[in-house]
Amino acid sequence: MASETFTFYIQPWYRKSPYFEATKRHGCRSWGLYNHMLLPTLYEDPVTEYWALLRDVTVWDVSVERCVEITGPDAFELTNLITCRDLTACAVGQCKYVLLTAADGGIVNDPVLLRLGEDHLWLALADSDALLYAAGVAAGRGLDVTIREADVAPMQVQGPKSKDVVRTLFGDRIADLRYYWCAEADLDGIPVVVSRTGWTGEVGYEIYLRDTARGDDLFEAVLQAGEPHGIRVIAPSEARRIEAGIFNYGSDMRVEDTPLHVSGLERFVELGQEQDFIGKAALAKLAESGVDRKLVGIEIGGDPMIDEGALNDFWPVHANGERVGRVTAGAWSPRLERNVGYAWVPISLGAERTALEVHSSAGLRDATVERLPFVDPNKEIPKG
Amino acid sequence: MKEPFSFTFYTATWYRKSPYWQRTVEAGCTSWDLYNHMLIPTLYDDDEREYWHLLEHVTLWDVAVERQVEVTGPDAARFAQLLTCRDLSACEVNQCKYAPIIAPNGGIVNDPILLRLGTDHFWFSLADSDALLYCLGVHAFAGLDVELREPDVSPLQVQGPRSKDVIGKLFGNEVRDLRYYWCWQGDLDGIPVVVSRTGWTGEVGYEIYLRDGSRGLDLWDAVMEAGAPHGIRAIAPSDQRRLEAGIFNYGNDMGIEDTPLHVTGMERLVEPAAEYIGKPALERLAAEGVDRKLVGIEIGGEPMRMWLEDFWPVRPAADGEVVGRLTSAARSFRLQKNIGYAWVPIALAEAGTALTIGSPDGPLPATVVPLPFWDPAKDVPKS
Repeated sequence: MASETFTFYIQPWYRKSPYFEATKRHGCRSWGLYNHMLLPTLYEDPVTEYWALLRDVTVWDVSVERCVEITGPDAFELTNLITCRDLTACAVGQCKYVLLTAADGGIVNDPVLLRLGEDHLWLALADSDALLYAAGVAAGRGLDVTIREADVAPMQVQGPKSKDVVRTLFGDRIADLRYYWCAEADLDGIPVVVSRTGWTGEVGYEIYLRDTARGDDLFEAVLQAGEPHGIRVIAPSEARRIEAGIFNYGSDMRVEDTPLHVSGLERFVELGQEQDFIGKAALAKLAESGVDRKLVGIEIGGDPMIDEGALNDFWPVHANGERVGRVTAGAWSPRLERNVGYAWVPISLGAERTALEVHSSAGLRDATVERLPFVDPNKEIPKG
Repeated sequence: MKEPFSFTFYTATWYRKSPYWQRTVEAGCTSWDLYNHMLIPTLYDDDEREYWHLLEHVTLWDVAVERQVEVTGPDAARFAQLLTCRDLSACEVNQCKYAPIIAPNGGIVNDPILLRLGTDHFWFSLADSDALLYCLGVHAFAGLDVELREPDVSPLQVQGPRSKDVIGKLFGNEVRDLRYYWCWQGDLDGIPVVVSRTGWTGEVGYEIYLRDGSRGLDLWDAVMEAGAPHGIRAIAPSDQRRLEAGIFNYGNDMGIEDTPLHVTGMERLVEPAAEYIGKPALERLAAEGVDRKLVGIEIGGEPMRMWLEDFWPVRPAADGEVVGRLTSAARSFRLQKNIGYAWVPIALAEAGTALTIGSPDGPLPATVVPLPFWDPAKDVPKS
């Protein structure tokens, strides 16, 4: 059974991206909701879009990555306080994947941080109102900061030929940015920040538009520069992000889960840092005692998980005849020619090669716990 | 009239489904919205029919999207007071209050209904924002001994003049006769619930908070069975009726950029005796006065259809500059008028002020009017 569908009526409180008209023009057929905003989720079909991403270059409207801007004398202190990563070594112009943690270690959001100045930081958010968290902490701690949602609209340019496109648009300084670094730039008077980041594990960039009246101009300029390279407008690729071991906050993990519960996120809990951060004590204790459940990579047998076979619910996971967990993500990887995904399992079933049963809505599928990520563990592709 | 843009929506795992989902589908729900990361019914067959059913009979709504922030622990009362501009010092156990949560700068984080379930036990029944995250942030350095979580609680609304009969049948006279903004804790044949005399309508109504998500279908069926003699039907929240009552939709009418002092009818919720985060900012703003206001308006032209696709621009006159925006508008079928809310500069906020609304089909004349449009003393829901 495929996912359920219905007619969705756009209402004024669902914010539209500055690229909304452009995405309609270029064939977007369906949107999702993310940070109270419309996010393109389907153009043609996920497999065609996947191959365009792997072979050529693609552009995505991800304005929904709302940027919480923290400025003021205590901006760095606040930011460092709300993440388990040690930001003391984060230079101006550097980016970091950060986990915002609550006092019990729970994940509030998992944004990409951009340090634009000593006391000027952006958190490009996943789907939760993390601005409210930062505002609450600032109030409780009495910090001198200004927190707002910046009027900024990111787009992703991802795929092996993205370098050529970015070079045409912005020149060598930007095209040759190192992985997880960023810089300010402008394109014929359109102010932007460009970062060497993305939601794919491919070579890629994000372009953060800072004058949202210019959305259409920027979108068309990128398409024009990409035309010789066969650029294509696509939605975020579920298959590619799972291959890379990238998580989708709100679906794979939530505020009830800590980074220590998620395979691959443990290394971002930097307990050795000198300064305190919110959740440090709880995470130290949990590191000591160990977690009782884990989000792990799984291979899922059976028919390709596309169209009718797509994941339409958190399918239950069974072992030894008992329900023990749930699948949070799954997709057909066209190049691996198998279904890859994630599932929550008890820690006793978290070891590689453990056999599981997945109760899909169309019947039973075998599954096996696998090491994450499914491709390119050293991230040589995106760094390349 | 130009139709709002629509498209085929694909449900996905991360859009949570309510425990009543299956029943709403069976009852003929045709469209949903997203609210607190969860699907909420937004249209069954016809919004006008649903409106009249609410006014004349009794209706059942799936509002499981009203997620709760639960505050428990020895310092729960102090923590709850820290969050809201309402004075909770006289709030008794089993009393409810409309209690906006206030940010340090006075902005509205959310506008929940607060239920005091025990001396040290509160729920904030949320509008559409992750207010739990704000609470977690405040808690980190508040030095207060509380626990915060989103419990497994899924509300239903039973609204309309015959709702008393339905609640009486289900829970007996004690619950039927709950006073306006009070609640009761108990169970229905073993299904644990809280029932409150509240709702999003201005009609007589109740909310039933299911405390065990695995019993959703049982509770739905029990309410439908008790309501059958009274012609109960499932409907979506009625935009028309909530506008008549001067009720606001957080995220649509107002948001974190706005304070209660900016919104007509919310000023009285800022109570001087309360001590809370954001009080200094609101006191400053009260002294200075606000420079813009959300006001009620009547709009001329043809009867309005359901839903705007976008916020429509507001001008002082057809050829003037854009000075504000229309946030909500709908046809009040009984008043036979188009009614709505708009943000305007304070100089244009007085009742009787003429405005021009830029609809996609051309300019429409409008006038600022007092709120609410119906039943200012709330005699209907209190009756």
